[in-house]
Amino acid sequence: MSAHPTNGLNDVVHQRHRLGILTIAAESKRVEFGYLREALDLTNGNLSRHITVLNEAGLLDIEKGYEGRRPRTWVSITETGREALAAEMSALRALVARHDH
Amino acid sequence: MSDSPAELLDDLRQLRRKVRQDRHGHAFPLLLFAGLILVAPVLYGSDPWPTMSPDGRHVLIERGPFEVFERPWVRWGGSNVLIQWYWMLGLVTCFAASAWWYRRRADVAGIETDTRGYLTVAGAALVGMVFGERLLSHIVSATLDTSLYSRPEINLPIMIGAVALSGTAIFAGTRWRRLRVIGVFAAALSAMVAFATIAVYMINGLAGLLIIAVALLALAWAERSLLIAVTGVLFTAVSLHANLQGVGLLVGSSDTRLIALMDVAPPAAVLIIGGVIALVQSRRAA
Repeated sequence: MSAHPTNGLNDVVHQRHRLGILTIAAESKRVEFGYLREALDLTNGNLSRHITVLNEAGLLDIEKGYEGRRPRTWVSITETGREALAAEMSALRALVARHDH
Repeated sequence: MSDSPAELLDDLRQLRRKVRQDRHGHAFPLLLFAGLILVAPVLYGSDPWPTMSPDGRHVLIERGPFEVFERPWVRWGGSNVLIQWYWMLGLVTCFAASAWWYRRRADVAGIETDTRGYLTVAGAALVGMVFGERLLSHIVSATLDTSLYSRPEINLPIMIGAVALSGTAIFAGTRWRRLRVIGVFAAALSAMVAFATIAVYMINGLAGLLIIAVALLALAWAERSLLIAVTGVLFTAVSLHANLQGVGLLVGSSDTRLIALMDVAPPAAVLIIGGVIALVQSRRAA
């Protein structure tokens, strides 16, 4: 008997906002903090916490800099992050397929 | 976003679509390349006088550094080095400018398109067509005493082999992480050989159009844009026609500038139409 698809879910990634952050980052070379906040409708504090968790898990890289005098934070997905996102999406699709049958 | 797997997947799909729309910025490269193409005919009429040998009896024809950008039927009097340098520097500048554009756009939009693949493919096409074709032709000429153009039974197997090798290297590089660096290198190298064999048939000297076509198809993939993909395919078709036959000689004029303009006008028109549509789309989205 094959393993249940929920076994493929990653605790760090399987959170809707973190999935959203990884999905956006996977579609770009790098994405700015403000863009993520607007796109996911999160507060600065919430977004910051999610990014820290993903960064500590090695799924995101963070790059801090300035544009003029304005501080800007850019995040980019790592190779491990791409693999974790792909695995999570596969597990979700398997869950949906299992539910449909 | 919702928590049911099906709804979550649907939300992520919509999010991905929105992100792709937000980072699209291809109006600039399309219009930039159209400008590069439309200015080129101005330089096609400036053939220099033939260079005489010291004894005054022979005409020395300089091949120039980037012969693939030369129109063979207008260089009877000597090589037009100016147009060769125009295409070479113009293409490099346009590729660099489009990479700068996406970087600058990221500062405004907050999200940056990854142009590394686009630049790698464009670089492979440029090097393969400009230097690879010359090297390959020289090797075949020196070893087999024949030209690649007249011997498709030699050229086509090299082309098919190079394309197959490039595809295999891309697959291996994406499938196995530790093979990524060598995969990218092998894919770029074999792609250069493939482009070199294609350049052999670009007898109208408009290989620059095909280099742009290859770059646009890579950009369409990077942008995941249907508009730029359709524009790229149409541009490739008219660019191949311009290189293999063209409409310039149908005009019946001896003006080399007019002939060149007629040949490059259809590809440029495709880019202008695609660029204007992209511009309208981005204005509407804003």
